[in-house]
Amino acid sequence: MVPSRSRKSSLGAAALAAMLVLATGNVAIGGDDGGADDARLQNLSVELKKHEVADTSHAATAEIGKAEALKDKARPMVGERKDREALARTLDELEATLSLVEAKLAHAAAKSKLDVAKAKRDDIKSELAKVRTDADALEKQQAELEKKLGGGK
Amino acid sequence: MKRAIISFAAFALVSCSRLPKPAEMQQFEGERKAREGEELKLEHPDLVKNADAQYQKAVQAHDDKEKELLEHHAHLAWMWWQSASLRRDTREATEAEKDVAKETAQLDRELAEAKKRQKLAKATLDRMAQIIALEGKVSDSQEVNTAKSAINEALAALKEAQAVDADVHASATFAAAEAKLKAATDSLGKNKPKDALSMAIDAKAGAEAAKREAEPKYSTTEADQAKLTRNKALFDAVAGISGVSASQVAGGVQAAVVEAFSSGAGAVTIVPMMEATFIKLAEVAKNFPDYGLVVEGHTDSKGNKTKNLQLSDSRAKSVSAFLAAQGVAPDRLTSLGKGSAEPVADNKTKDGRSKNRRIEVLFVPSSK
Repeated sequence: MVPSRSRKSSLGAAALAAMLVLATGNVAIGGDDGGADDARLQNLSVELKKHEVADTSHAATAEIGKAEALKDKARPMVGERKDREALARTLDELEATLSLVEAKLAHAAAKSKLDVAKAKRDDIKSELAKVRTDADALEKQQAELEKKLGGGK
Repeated sequence: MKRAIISFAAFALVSCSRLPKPAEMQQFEGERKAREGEELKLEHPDLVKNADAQYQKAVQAHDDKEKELLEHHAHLAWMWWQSASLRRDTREATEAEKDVAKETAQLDRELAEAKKRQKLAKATLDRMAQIIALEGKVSDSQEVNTAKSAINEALAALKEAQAVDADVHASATFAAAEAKLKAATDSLGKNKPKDALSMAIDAKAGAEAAKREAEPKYSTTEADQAKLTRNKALFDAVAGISGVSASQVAGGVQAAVVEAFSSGAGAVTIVPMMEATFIKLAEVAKNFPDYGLVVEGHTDSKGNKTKNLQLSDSRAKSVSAFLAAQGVAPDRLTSLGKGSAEPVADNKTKDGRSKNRRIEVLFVPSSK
């Protein structure tokens, strides 16, 4: 049997050690990994903001809305040990969603430029057809008059 | 006993039954296995790598019958895949836009030609209308017929002058000739065939003078425009080659290719990876036979200057021989070794030295 005084000091030492472990454990987990998650969320949030500003043509409204919801879902989980896996999954989904948003915005912009270029080409094509028809008719008329005048080359 | 067997069988059935694959996972599998899937991987390796990683996790979750995880990873795999696909579509749309822009430029030129034809025909018709209007109003005498004939000649001369843009490049002379023709027509309408004849002769002479005045400017404008258009087309063709950095320089278009040779000292054979680049350059050269090619070899500053000069010369010759083997006429090719004398980047850094070890192919309009 352990003497009472000795038992008290053993318990105290064990409690102190447990507190230290917990404290350092928390720091290790919440400080390192939690910090990394927080930084990742911050970066993704900045990226999301950029896309929101860039999406003037509403090409990725649904995905941006979804990304907003994922960001809001992730925020309270940062630093919570029990939510670590769920947070990782949410951030993964947020990252994939933002990549898709970026791709959609770039595609919409390229498609819009292509449509504008096609419209311009079609306008010129149509004008060319009209001018050619008119020029053909005028030249025909001119040839007839030249015959009538009997002179022109 | 019977109940136990039934329970066991039901348990076994439930345990063995597989989770259905989500639609996104099936779609991903279908597209990933196609030839386009491999091409997409080459174009966007990082995104496809992410998609593949998520797909592997989805497969694992499927095996483990973890429905929620399966759906999560399948969805992520699909999103990464779509992200890559959309980026490829974006590239294709950008290329299509360039093609449409080229087509538009060609149509623009054709439109300018058609407008010129239209303008010329309209102007000639207006002048003719004035003459036609005289029909029946003037007597059919010898003098009148002579004047009419002179007016017709002046009319034809004006038409020829306008065909070389004399109304633009020799506007004053042309306008004076046109006014003379109108005066001639008016005189004939007033039964003054002598005046009409004299003015028609002046009009013809004026139109011919306007033509002479306009012709050099017209030819220069046409030739300059054609040269610019040709240079631009060449630049676009060169810029479209992977591994080539194209630039428009005084006198032509320059194509620079870095790291075309293996790093071994003295290596003068093009590395297999860069052969496709030079094959495409040869194709462009064949499509632009009106350009000569000056192939220059450049090295970084490491090593002996004389040896670098010899090496750059050998490499330039090696590229020339390669282009000739691809069908570029040897008399269009000139090779030069420049050694380390013309660096384009800092030789103190690895990246700079890499940029300096290059082959430059200068396309120069041929004087032939």
